[in-house]
Amino acid sequence: MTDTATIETSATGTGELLGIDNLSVSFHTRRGVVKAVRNLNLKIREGETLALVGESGCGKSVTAHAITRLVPMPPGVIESGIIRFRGTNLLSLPEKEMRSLRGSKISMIFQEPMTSLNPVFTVGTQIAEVFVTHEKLGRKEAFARAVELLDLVKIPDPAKRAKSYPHQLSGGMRQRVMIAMALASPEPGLMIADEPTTALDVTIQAQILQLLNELKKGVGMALLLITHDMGVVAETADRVAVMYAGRKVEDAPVEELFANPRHPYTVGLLGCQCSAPSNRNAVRLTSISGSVPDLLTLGDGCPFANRCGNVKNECMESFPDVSTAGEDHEFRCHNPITESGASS
Amino acid sequence: MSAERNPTPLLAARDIQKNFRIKDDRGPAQTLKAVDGVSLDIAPGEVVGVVGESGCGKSTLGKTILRMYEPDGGTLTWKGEDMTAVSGAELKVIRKDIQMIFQDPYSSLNPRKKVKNIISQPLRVHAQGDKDEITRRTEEVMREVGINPVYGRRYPHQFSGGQRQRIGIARALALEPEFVVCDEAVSALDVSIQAQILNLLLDLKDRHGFANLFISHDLSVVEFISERILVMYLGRIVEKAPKTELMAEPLHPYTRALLAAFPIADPSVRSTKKQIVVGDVPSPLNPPTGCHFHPRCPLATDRCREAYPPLVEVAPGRQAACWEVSAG
Repeated sequence: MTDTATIETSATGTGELLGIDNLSVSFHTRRGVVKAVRNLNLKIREGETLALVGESGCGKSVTAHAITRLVPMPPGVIESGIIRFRGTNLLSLPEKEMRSLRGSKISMIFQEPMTSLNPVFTVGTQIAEVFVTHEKLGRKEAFARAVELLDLVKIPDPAKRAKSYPHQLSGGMRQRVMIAMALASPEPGLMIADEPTTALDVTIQAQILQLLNELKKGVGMALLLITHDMGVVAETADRVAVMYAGRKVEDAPVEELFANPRHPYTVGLLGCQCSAPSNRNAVRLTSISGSVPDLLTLGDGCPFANRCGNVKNECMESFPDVSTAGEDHEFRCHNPITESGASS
Repeated sequence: MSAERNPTPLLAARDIQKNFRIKDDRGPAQTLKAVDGVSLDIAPGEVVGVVGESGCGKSTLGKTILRMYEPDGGTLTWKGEDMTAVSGAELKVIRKDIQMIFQDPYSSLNPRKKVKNIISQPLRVHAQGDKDEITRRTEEVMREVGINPVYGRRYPHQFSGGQRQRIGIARALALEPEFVVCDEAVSALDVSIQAQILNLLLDLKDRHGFANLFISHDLSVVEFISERILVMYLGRIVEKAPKTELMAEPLHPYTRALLAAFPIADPSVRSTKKQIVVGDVPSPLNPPTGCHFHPRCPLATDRCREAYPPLVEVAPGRQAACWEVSAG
């Protein structure tokens, strides 16, 4: 961690909203140290949707919690790194300033909206709370603004719905309320959506994704979308970062990543999705053998080595440096998939 | 493929009804029609997919045709014989040939039992040979699903989610059933593990030739594994068709909505002006009058608000329950 809250960077010129440099997060448990995120570098530009993709335990949610400084400490420890938000290092910000940032410039929505809403207050009151806290509005005025937001997220009959309690709403409606709350800010910069549609039915998922896309354009905020669903990524993301067992293995614009994946894990992840075009009329899915390694016993090598078809000796010993493939496309692999799709 | 025309299907369900009585603190008890007049045939060795959103009755349908739930109406026929009325020893004989694989590999395995005992339990219940014979069969089926038999003395919590699902599959296949119901069998798994399990199910099906009713909310999984697909909405089948036809040209407006809503893992076909169905799924306790889909349907007319359309053949091998579609 650095001592100064403000860092001189050239990054602001490139439209960077959030930059993560060399972030490592560990959890010190009774069984040992779990390295949940290791040496992560990530960048989100203003107004961009970045999808952070990976399977359970890859560190995607821990990354989101680190950005909002909601990693429980202990057992969590931020071992190293910088998280720049518009030039300010969030990790060295006093808690009071961080609190005023959370919910105003950086907001978060979660998979299960029922557990993030307070069951004993009406949804209108809960949204109004944001205006009362951050803008010092009066209760009545704040409530009126809450109703406007419910209208913005397309909840029918918003004035009546604002007086409902969370349990009176469906899952899709609750997620809309969460989104309204995340938007209850004069200048939303970044919305972090952690599996926002995973608990929802597919027709409702489509509605929520469409809403997020529209709002993002309308309000001009950036979206960090955390998901395991490559279908959702393909339909919403501008750029994709793929994580595996705490490491970022590949990072590219969405079309580039789907058309020209270089890391064997990305290739495997794309191939094992039933909805992938390559699996149309396939007799068997391309699968990745084995399972995710135990984060407690991970060595210094590539964490994917034990499941990788392209594995070489050096994969066991060291995690490779960043390689680039054209503009904005990075991956970390000793023996990447070549552009034609064959192994080098 | 042409199961509907097969003279003796493995399992035939006619007009199955399953109701639940819901009683909360206030008000009278209400009846929830979870499955409301569903008919289906399953041919030997056929894979039929059932797809629908939460509350459509797909899981209840799966449990009712196995008589894990007693049906409140309709008939079930197993190999041409009525299995609606049988009970006790006779039902046990039929059940030997019918098995189920569950969604949650955590709660569907007894945490206090060793894995080898979990897998061998059906063999012991149905008295399939002596102790050595049961051990031999248990180890054989464990190898088949990719679990090393030396791990038989371990407990379920010592395995990962994907391995636990393999244990659940081994248990279901120990008796070499002719019919397996998979209820969201891969929904709780990570995608890379999901692909392994789907491939395993297909390998096992090829080898043993069991028929499979594959229930899932995930259209892409159902599309991958099934030969025929049934689409359910609020307790009823709205469309029934061979997979290729259904995916190429969905007929019922709900099927179309489901297909349009499903995200495709290909950014180059990203559609900005996609037709997304409006509104929520209504409560199955109080479904809309007439066609249950009419409040969300772009084609709805007065007739749809008044009467539920019957499931009729609209093209060879294809059935849909929609006034507008059957009118042509």
